[in-house]
Amino acid sequence: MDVPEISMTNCPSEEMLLDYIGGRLDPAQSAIFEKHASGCAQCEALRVGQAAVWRSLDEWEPGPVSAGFNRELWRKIDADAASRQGRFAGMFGFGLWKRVAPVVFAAGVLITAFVLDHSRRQHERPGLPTTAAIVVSAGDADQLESALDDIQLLRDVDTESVPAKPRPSAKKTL
Amino acid sequence: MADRVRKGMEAVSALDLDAQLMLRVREGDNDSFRLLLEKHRNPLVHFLQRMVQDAGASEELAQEVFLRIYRSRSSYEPAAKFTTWMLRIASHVALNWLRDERHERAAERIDEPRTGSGGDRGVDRPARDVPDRRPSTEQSLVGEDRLREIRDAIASLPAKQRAAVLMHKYEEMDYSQIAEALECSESAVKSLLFRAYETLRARLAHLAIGA
Repeated sequence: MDVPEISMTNCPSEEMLLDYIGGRLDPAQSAIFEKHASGCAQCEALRVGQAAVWRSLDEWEPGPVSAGFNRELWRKIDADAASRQGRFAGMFGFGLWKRVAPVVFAAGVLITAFVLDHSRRQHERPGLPTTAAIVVSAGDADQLESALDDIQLLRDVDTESVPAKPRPSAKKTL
Repeated sequence: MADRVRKGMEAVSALDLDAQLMLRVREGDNDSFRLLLEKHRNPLVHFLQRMVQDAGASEELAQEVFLRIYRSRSSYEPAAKFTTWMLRIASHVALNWLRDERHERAAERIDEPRTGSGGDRGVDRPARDVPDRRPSTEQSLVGEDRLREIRDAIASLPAKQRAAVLMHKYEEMDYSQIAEALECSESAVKSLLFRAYETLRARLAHLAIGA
């Protein structure tokens, strides 16, 4: 510890005084301080006052500790450990489910709404063929085939002098 | 595990035995915790008795300190002396208790004025509030009044000044250790101590004359 120069006109710091009273100064420093205090009324008063405080505090003995202190502490440690385990289990058990259930429900509602909306938009889009359109196209195919047969028949009538061949009955079934 | 303990031991070999024990606690050795408990139980309870001046509460607070130490064993790093670390936790716990107790007492005074022999401490308070004012050997020797004056003088100090004085006087901690425990600078500690001792000199001067 750095000790400032002490003379009869230069008083020591209060820190040094505290160290002196607390017995934390080495003998040489203590001797210097005592020599100064013997000729300095202010420091002597401080020394006497602080020594009185020190003695007073020495008189204050604390009470005894309860015999069951350790037992009670271990009970608290065990209870704390059990409580922490319970919290951990709760976090990943029913407790967690309780917390996330509203979120899961909300997510489910959103996904359902999205799917329904998407499907409705698909039906309403004009450019895309629908199931009904395909059915109509199948009917048209029959008509088209029938028209082609008729054209072929007329061609045969125009180009041949012989009477036209009867149409195959199988095509009528189409 | 042994390797981890050995590395920790090397790190704290210059520190103290308590830190080494705490490293063993970190590795799951409860016997080391029992040793720490046996060694520090009484000094810690006494520090808290002087700090909160309530025998029952001081034991509960000491148990809270040990519980916190045990709880934080897995993350313990011997950055400071064990007792400094322990007293830092104890100071936190005590300062919180004093703050809450002050609010509690203020609320009691406002809500329901107390009567009876319990005074402002109340007659139906929990059993922990039985103060450490039972006559002891020391008290009967030096006199109840004298001791009460000393206790009251300490109690009159602001909580942080009180903690600094108790650490300086009874735990024989130096300024840097007190600063670490109270989480402030050394110069702040000196300032706390100077002001505290100034108050105590004024309040206890008449005891010196009578002695």
